[in-house]
Amino acid sequence: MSKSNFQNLKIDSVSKQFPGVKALDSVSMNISTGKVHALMGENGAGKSTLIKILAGAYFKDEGKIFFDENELTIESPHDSLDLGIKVVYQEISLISGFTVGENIFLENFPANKLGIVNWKKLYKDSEELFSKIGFNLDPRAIVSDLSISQQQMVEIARAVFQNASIVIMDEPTSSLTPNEIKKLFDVIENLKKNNIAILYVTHKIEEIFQIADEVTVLRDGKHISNRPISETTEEILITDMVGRKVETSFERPTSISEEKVMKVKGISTKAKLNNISFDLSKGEILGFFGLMGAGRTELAKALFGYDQISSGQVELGNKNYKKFNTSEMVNNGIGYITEDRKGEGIVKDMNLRENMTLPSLEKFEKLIFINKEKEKSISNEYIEKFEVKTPSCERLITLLSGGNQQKVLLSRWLLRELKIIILDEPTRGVDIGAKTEVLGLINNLAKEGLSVILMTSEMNDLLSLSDRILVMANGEIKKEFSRNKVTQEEIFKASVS
Amino acid sequence: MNTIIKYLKKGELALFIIFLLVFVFFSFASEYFFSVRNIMNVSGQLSITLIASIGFAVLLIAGEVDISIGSLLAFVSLPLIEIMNITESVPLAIFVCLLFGIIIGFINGYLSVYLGISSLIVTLGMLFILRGTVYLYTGQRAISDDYMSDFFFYIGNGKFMGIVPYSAMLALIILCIFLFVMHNTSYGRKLYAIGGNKEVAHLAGYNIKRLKLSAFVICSFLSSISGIILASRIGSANPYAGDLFEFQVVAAVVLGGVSLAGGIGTLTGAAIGVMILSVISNGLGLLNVETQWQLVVNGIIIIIAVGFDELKRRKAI
Amino acid sequence: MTNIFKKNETILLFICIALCLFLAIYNPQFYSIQNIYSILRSSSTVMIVALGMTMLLTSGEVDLSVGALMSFVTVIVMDVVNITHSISLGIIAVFAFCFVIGLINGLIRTVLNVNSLIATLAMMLILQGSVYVYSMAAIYNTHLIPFFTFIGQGFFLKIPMPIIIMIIILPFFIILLNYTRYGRYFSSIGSNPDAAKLSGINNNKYKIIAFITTSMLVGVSGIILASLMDTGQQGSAKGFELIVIAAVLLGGTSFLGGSGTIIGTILGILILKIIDNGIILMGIPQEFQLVVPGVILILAVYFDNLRKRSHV
Repeated sequence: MSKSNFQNLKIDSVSKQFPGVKALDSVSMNISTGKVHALMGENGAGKSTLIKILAGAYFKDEGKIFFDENELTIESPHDSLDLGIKVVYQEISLISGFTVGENIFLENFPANKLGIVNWKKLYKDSEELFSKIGFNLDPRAIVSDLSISQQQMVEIARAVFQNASIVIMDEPTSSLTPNEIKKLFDVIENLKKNNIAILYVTHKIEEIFQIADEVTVLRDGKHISNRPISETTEEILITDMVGRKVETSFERPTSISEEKVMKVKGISTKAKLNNISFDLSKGEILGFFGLMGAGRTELAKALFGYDQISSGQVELGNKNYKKFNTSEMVNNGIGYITEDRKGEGIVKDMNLRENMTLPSLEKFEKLIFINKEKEKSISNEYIEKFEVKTPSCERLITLLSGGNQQKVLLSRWLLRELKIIILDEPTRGVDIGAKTEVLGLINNLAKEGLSVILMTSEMNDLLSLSDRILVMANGEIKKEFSRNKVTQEEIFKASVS
Repeated sequence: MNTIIKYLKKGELALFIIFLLVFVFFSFASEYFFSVRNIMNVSGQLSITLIASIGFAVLLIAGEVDISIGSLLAFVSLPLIEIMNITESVPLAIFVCLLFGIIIGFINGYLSVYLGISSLIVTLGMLFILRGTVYLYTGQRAISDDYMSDFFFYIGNGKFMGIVPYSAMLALIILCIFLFVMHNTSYGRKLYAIGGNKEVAHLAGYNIKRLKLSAFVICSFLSSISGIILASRIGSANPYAGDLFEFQVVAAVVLGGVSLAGGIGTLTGAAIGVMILSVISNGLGLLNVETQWQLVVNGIIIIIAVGFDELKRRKAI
Repeated sequence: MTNIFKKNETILLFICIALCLFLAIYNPQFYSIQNIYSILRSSSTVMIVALGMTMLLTSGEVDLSVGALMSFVTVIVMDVVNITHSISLGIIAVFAFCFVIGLINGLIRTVLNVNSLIATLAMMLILQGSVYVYSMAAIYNTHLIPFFTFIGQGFFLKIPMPIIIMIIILPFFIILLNYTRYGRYFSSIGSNPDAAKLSGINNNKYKIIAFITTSMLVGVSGIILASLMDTGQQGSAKGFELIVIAAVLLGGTSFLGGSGTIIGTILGILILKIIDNGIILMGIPQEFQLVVPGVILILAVYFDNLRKRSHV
């Protein structure tokens, strides 16, 4: 029936190291056919790395993967598919111009010797497939006309059709309505009956209790627990996910200035954000927590002027801004550090110095000429300050490690006289030592009057640094907490409600 | 009936209505337009653009472009006329001419797909290389058809029962064949898939390089057929033939809804696009509007059509 | 030290010198003053426009309408000067026209979000057609104002005027692209538009500036060309865009971001023009002049691709 006949997918002590961070540290798991095995953890816990290894997109450094007693070699996405491992991601990988049926049969259209497609058979077989899995979808519908949930169904149908032995679902319900979620669960039950193993990756605890048979929790790359669902509770799971010693708190002033530097009034965006309002005081560190898809990056980009807001306004000083771009925000003394370092942060054809000075070139000008000497001296200053590992400031930025690139991006903004800085995952890819230093620097700047908007999934950083914490979910602000009066568990719970 | 409906989707219906509107407009605007003679005349000229546009559309759907087809038109007419004049064998001449077309298509495809040079650059360069070679060979003078075969004359000028041009019938047959291939064979569907989402197609195990190469060959092959018809109509191998032809084709195909991004659009749409532009061109000519306006119109149409295409895509996101 | 030899400019310099030596030996006419002046004159018009095209390509855009625009400019300037007997008015008319065309190109790209390749291709068609609407026939010099002829055919300190004009314009752009922040802006917009935007750079503003600048430079070259031909000729600059783009690409600027150098572009133009000249001197049929840039374009981009890939 399925491509490989087995009872258990065994993951044994798998590790994966990236420059600066150990994404997976000797993780072991057992996934049985006919069962739903949930994989939980915060952002950065290692879930996606594990999935990518199973999908053949990454190669593990250590450890073994077995189908029962047979060791597997997965070196490419093709290997993974051949073994019957199929991942349903959030990004749909279908041909959107094709019909549902055509997508199912993408690998192999039913055709005669001349290559003429037998549409009748194609659609008939599709219908049979759908009834087996238990949902009704018109195989003649065009994929681009379908909703996200329906497209997901098509992907699942494809998996079953390709005789998948294990279907991995990565945050499958993040864009679904409650009705659609129920339909998905029905389909999953059917998959179980067809003896397919399901790895269900999510952070939504209620769903786990509805659908899963077993739960594995990852934290900071390690597996913390492996339990049948009957032997666990919500509290236990949350503690597993976030329970760690909170490290050194940073000393924050007991009272924050009354002066408001930014007032956000009911801003929404077409895509995600809905009626976001909050104030930011001078010298305040305002932390935002939220899981993937909550809308933090969207908020950061909207505040900075990268994306247009569809309603509401942002008040800075005395001016109200409804339509604004990044130039204006930069001129207003606002800085922004992106979470997508490679795609939106570094300019790959430029060297370290040029990357560092990019937003601030007016400050390095003598008449209209760029003062390279001044650039060099400032760059070297920050190279030293952050201990950026590089032979010189003239080095091409792409030759630096991820963590060092991040330091350059931080320097890019910190060398300006900013009033407000928006940080989106600022310590991603930075090692522990530098992390503390960066956070300490931010704390000091805040004490001197810099206002900070801090978006992070690092619970530690959030709690140790923020004066207030706003929790986001589904493009809205759900709850506000005050520093020192909240636990990690409370924050996490608020983000999944 | 069902198959006809399947082939005419919403977008094409709108296009067809535009065509009818344009047709009606010129029927009233010019007394010469709505006559059997004129309509058949247009069909004859239109067949040249249509056949090449089918090839262009196939390639565009697969995600690549060939903007050298105008120069190719002139280029393949050289072996055609020369061999005909020398050997007095029309079939041989046609065979060699088509062979040249296939080879050029192969070269374009190989450089683009296997050597990884953007097809736009390759065919832009090829545009000049072929045109230059044509000028070189002919000394910028037309090579006339001295053999004067009746059969050759009929290709471009003959009319079935004295009314319907053979070339138009040929164009229609080619259109039907390729419509069928693109919609009903796994080959055609694979071309759509490659243009639609390359990664997904790759993971599905398609041999993308080979499929794209074949699309290049089809495009050049069909353009060669257009070249034969054109040479027949003007009775010579003209070094200036096909000048700016590629842009007419692009305008027609893009107007017809074939997306520049690949994977989207139908040959039916492309065909209607050709019909609309040909009628406009013919109508304007009958109204004594100078030909240079057509260039202007083509340019504006491209901008509008692509702009619309972009708007559609943004709305979808 | 080895790096200097691998550098693009060095290779181009060698090719250039080799070509010169080869042609000089083959046909001594090559190094006659008239011939050298002719090469330099036609190189100047290309170079002037190539400065703008470099800005465009660096920021990730292109303008295929420069040839058509240049032909149009020759017609406009000759016509206006004929009618008004004022060179100043002719120049103003040209610059106003070029400004508008550049602005339209820029707006179509930034506001309508049409890919610049298609947009400028369409503009090329529109200009090619419109020039005949403006005037069916070529426009001959009936004003006979000496200064006009001087622009293209005159000399200053024994150097042909077009080169002087180029020499005046050149430093401005070298400074702009290499020593001011605008050069960095264009590079970053082309290399990573998101990162540029997130650094507070207004991408659209600079793209429009690049389009307008290029069109205005085409105006300058067009006036020079009209002076050289002593006519306003509708199809005079056909294929011009190909040479400009090929030269800029040869010079190291790439669609994929990363800018070449001005020297590289100059050498690229010289190579193309010397080959052009060599074709005539060696008695090779003139039509090869169309074939060669086509081949070179493909080769240039191919090697550029290879270079980029080995980097990454």
